[in-house]
This record gives sequence, C-alpha cells and structure tokens, in this order.
Amino acid sequence: MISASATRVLEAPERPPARATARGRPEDEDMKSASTKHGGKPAPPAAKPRTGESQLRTGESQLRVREPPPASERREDGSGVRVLHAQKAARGVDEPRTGVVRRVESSSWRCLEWEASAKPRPRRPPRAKASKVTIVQLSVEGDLIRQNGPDSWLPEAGDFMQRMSTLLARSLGFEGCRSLCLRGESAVLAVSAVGSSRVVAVSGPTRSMANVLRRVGLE
Amino acid sequence: MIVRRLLGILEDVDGVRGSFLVAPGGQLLTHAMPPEFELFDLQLSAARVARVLSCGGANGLRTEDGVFDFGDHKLLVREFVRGWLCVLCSERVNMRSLRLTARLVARSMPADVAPASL
Repeated sequence: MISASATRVLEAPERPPARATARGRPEDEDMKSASTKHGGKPAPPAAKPRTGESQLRTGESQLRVREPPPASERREDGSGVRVLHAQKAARGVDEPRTGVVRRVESSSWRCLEWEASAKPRPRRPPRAKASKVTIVQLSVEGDLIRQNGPDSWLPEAGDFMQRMSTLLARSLGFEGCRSLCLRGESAVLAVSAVGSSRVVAVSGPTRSMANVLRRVGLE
Repeated sequence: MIVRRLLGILEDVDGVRGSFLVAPGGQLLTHAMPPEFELFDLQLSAARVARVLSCGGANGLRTEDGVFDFGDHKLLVREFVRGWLCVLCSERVNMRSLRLTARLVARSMPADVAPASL
C-alpha cells in the first residue's frame, strides 16, 4: 500500500513551491545566493560533516536513513553493552567525523560494566638500581686502561693483589697466578690475568657475582 | 696433636696435597705440607697470603673464603677464628667436597693455635 506522501514523492511537480528549511529561509533562496556567489554556475555541494546520516533527495521531500556504524565500531563486550554507545554516551553527543585523529579517552582504564569498580592494578616492581659492580682493566705494569663502576679503590687493590698472588705462586713453586677470587659476607672481588698483557679486576655484591663464584667453585 | 689431625682430615679429599694455617699477621702457625715444601717458602707464602687478604680487608672486604688459581693447582683459603686455613690442591679436586671439609675443619680449630706448635 503506497501512502499519500510517498505518492507525492514519486510524482514530484516540475516547479515545487518554496519550502522553508530548518533555518527559516526558503530553499530556493539558498540556491539563488549560491549561484550568485559562483558566477551563475551551480555551486558545488558544500562539504558537510559526516554525521552517520545519509540524506536522500527525491524532489522536495527528504528521506533520512540512519546508517549503521562501521564494522570496526560495532563491537559488543561480554555483558551485551555496545561499546560504541557507551563511548558516545560518555561523550554526550555524536561528533562529526572530521578525519582528524585525536585521543578520546584519557590514558586511564575504565570498566565498561555497570557499577563495577576498577580492579587495582599490580604495581610494577621498581627499576633495578644502578649496577654496583666495578670492572677495571689494567696493564701488567699496573696502568689503568679502563674503569667502570663505583669502587675507586679497585685499580690499586687489583694491581697489588695480582702482584702479590704471583709472588705467592712462585714461593709455592708455581709459575704464576692466573686468577684469585675472594668472597666476603656480602661482596666478592676477583682478579684475573687476561693473556700476558692485561689484568681485569671485578668487585661487586655477592648476588651480582654469582657467575664468577660458580666458575671458581665457591658456590 | 689435634691441629695436625684436623689438617689430616683434609687429605682425605681426593686431590689435596697439603695445608697450612696462617695468622692474621702473616705468621705461619702450623702446616701439613709435603716435605718438598721448605719451611722458609711456607713462611713466605703465609706472609703473602696475609697481605692479599689484608688488602681486601682494608677496602671493606673481610674475606671468608677465597681461591687462588695457579693453573694446575689451586689454593683454597678459609677463614677461622685465629686466622686462615690454606689448602693446596690439584686442579681436578672436587671443590664442593673440599669447601665443605675445609669449613668443618676451620670450625673445629682450637682457639689457642700458636706459632710454637710448628
């Protein structure tokens, strides 16, 4: 059954009467002013904000059809609450799609379920403190080549220990001392000869020196 | 004598060649080393061990135990109430067994070990 209004749409008159628009001006006046602005030519369609509604013009009547939201926005969470509507309700209005990307929500998480409070998030462990391991590289003459770490006494002590342990080895009838490792209650010191020209001394807390202790058999 | 017997326990660990005791001042307290090691060399070695450990102590590292690697031999050092116990062993020794035994011996050492017992 075709309604009377639909019949009027299909049988649009050749010269429709002026009709007031929502702004209160006749539609023909708008067309006139637009054609005057563009030198008598019909003006190009003005860019309108995309509101999610498409307007079909058939003669003088307009049919407004609501478009479904894009598939990327049509998403439902487990509780059946449509996320799109929840977001729009939070914003309050339907905003025009201007193509400008902007951050809508703050960085904080928000629970979408009704009356549900956000769970407390587990705190991240604090960042590891700066390393307390000191590594020193020395020449066999005792000159400092490289130092990294907080123990400023290590170059001198490492050089002394290397020399004294070599003398210890010789007094016991051996050629030299390859390395020494001393473990205290909470700290470890290791001095090693690297090749024939370098000596490396390392000191640090016991936790950080587990590999050294394992290598020399003290753990 | 109890100190000699305690040092003899260490030789039960495979790879141990001998042991000696060093006072904190560097004096050689007693030893159970093979005869090829002369007393003078042992006294010199004791003084050098004490210097190395004292250097660590001067910088805040009070040594409980340590290892000197001489290549084919090692010297394990273990703190005890009157100084340090030093154990000379070969490279292939089981360090875990040696450390456990040295800890027991060091705990059992009497407090009146003196250089006169040499």
